[in-house]
Amino acid sequence: MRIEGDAGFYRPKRLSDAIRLKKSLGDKAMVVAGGTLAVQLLNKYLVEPEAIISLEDLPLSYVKMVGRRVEIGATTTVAALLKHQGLPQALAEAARSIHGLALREAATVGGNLMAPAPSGDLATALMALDAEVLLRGSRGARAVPLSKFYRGALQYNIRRDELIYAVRVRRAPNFSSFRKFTAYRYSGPTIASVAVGLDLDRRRIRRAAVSVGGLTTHPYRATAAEKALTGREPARETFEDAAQRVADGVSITHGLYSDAYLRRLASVLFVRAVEKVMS
Amino acid sequence: MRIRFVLDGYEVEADVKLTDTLFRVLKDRLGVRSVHFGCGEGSCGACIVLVDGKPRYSCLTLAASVDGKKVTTAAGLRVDGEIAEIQRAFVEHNAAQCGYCTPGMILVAKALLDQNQNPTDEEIYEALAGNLCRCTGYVPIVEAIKSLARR
Amino acid sequence: MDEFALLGKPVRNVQLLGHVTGETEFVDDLSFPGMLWIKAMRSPIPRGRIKKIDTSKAERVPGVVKIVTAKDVPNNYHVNMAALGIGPPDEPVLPDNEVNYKGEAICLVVAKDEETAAKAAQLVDVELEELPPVLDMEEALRPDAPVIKPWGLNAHIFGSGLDGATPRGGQGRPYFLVKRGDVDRAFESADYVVEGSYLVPPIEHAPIEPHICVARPEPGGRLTIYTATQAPYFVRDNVAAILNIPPSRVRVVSPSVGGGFGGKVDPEFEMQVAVAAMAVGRPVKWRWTREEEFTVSTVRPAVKIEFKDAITRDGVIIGRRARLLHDSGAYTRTSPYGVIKAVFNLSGPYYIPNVYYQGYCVYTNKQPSSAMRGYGVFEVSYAVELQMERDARTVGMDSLEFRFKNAYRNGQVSASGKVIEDAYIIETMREAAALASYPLPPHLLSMSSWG
Repeated sequence: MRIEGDAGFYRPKRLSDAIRLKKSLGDKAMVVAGGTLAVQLLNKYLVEPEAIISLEDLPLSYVKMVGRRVEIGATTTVAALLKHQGLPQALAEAARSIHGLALREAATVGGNLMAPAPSGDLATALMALDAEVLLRGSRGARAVPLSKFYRGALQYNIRRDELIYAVRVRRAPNFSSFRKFTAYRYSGPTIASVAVGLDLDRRRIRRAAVSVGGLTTHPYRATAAEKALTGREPARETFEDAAQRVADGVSITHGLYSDAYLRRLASVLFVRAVEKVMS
Repeated sequence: MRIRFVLDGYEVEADVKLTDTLFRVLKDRLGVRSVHFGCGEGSCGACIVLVDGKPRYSCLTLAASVDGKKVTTAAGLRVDGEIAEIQRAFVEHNAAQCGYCTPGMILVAKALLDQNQNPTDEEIYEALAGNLCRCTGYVPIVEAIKSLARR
Repeated sequence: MDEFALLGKPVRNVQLLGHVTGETEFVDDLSFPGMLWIKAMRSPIPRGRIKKIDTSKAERVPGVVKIVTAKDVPNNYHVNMAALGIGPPDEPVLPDNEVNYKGEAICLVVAKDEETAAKAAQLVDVELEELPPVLDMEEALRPDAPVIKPWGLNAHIFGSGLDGATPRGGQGRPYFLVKRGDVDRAFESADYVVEGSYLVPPIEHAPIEPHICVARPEPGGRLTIYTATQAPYFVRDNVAAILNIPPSRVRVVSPSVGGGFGGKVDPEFEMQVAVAAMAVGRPVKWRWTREEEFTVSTVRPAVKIEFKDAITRDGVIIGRRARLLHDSGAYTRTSPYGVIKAVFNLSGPYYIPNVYYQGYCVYTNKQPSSAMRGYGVFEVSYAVELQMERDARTVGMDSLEFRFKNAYRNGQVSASGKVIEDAYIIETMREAAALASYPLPPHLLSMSSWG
């Protein structure tokens, strides 16, 4: 079955067609969701694709919430996401932190997962919610934990014939939050961001997820901080101790700010993120 | 490829290349004055248009994507020849100096008030974060928007 | 105010309606039949000697019309304010031998559209022999520094008529000098000597409209240049000079400018566009990218100012020595004018009878600097006011009182020998204190600019 395209521009209406196009065109095609990053490459004459696969017509703009389970289609824009009440708090805070109405109408959740620092605020938040990336390819569908999705800088656990079709949070924790620090008060690139997801009660933190964005190309899980939280009492000392560990064992790749500053910033953002549960 | 779309109320056609952005087509092919080049990377907002009513960076939008859609610039906000309320508010509050950021600023201001009739200062600054102005210092722009708030 | 028609009345900017409807015309709105686009191939290094320019691959790109190099320029070397006597012309339109800053345009590709020009520019091969650059002003002034100017010094020569302010045949110095009184005696009799060193970084104007220019050849060897400029006559003079044609054959049209702030005072690229237009005989357009705007377009200069003040026990500044370094970048352009302005203002609005001020216009292998809001004075004001704070604290005097005490009075003579006639600083400070609800003691309130 021929997929309609005009001079190399494809706007598939079905995911299966998009996948087939990606497989057959391979490196000749550029995949575009909102275009906030991909089209920049065109403007700067950095790439010269022979074909473009635009995802805009795919039925992937949706938010499904059932209890604490959330599934968000890959082409859902930040603007569309913000129309929904009841999102896990970390995700809602991350989406609200993306400023500028025009950016919100173009930035997609799927694109944000792949965007390198200083972008990727949603990815940071979703990582602390133990999100999974839902992929579909010519061989079927699979789910990859977001914490395992990044293989290296701009290297993803995604096959040549696969597309991200959604991101899923199986069970949002009972507390989550997201804090970021930008170059300017209302705008500017994210210097660092921290997201926290905790399953806790008055006596114990049963599960902890801490993710950090901005220090490395893609967000990472701060496992040392998580170990310092899990099973412990949700007391101020516990959180302050964990705050010191959010950048443990991480080789920082940020170009513009010093190592020492970024480590300190990450720990400050962590404390701000857990302020509510600390008090 | 040939695309057809409605621009500020007029039906237009253009031959576009695969990699042409909407900005390129509007400015260099169609000679549209009410979009401006500032950065080519979606930071400054001088190129912002409405696509089917939603603010979009025309420099980050592929021309081919707007086939069959409605594109509006600041030049297309007149109703029965009268400028829109937001445009009048900008004039009254001196919310422009060189005018280069203004067309994009107007559209985002309008989109904000369409969604939120009574924005706080913080909501205004957040909404306009993708529109840079090097002349006014933003205050008269915020005042112009607040003057239209309906409590 | 009632008898005035305009004074004291709010007046609307006539452009506002065009701005809010997007109807205001900027240069980028201009397009002509047959118009071609320019992109530059720029130097990747701050200083080097050009060994070879290979344009063969670029020329073969379909849609490329011409590649313009130094040999296409009738009169390659220029300096912005030559008409005011500033010299020598040290800047090439396109380099024929050496490149002196990272980003300097080595050649121009003229093609049917922007994309083609950009891609072809990427295919130009230039062989450069790297030379040691000077990137710091103090280093540039050291005797062992690499010299980047043909007259043997990394500093502009003032005093011999080549600065636009002094007569020819005078003594040349590598700095602009303003002196008055006897500064050595002042330091001998001072009760306090206060030193301070101040640095102002370069600042990019970042107008939302980048540099954009269209040039159109006209019949009879004429040329029209449409450019967003703050100084059409600079454009005209320089374009005419490098094309070797009378200025009357160059028409400069400046539509609305999308922000200048001083960054569109120097003709930075109009000469290149003019050469390209004449070379191809067709209208040409150049739209700078934001990257070019940041890394190539002029910036406010980095300035270093060192003060040494001689102060009496009563808090009167009786002498000041100052040394100012102004980073001109790779080429002269308007910098001598900026230095002269700066040096004349090193006293600030304060009376200092004995002064010795030296201002250096230093060349470094960086993007050339130029005017920005309050050129030459802004950076000096910053340093002067901080120095006043230092002085006041050393003397143990309230810093406002220190300023009242030292402010110019009418009838005093400035460092440049001018009799002060319009001093109003004391009254202004009183007004400002009142508006800020800051109470002033009676002895300050009774001070006046008239004695």
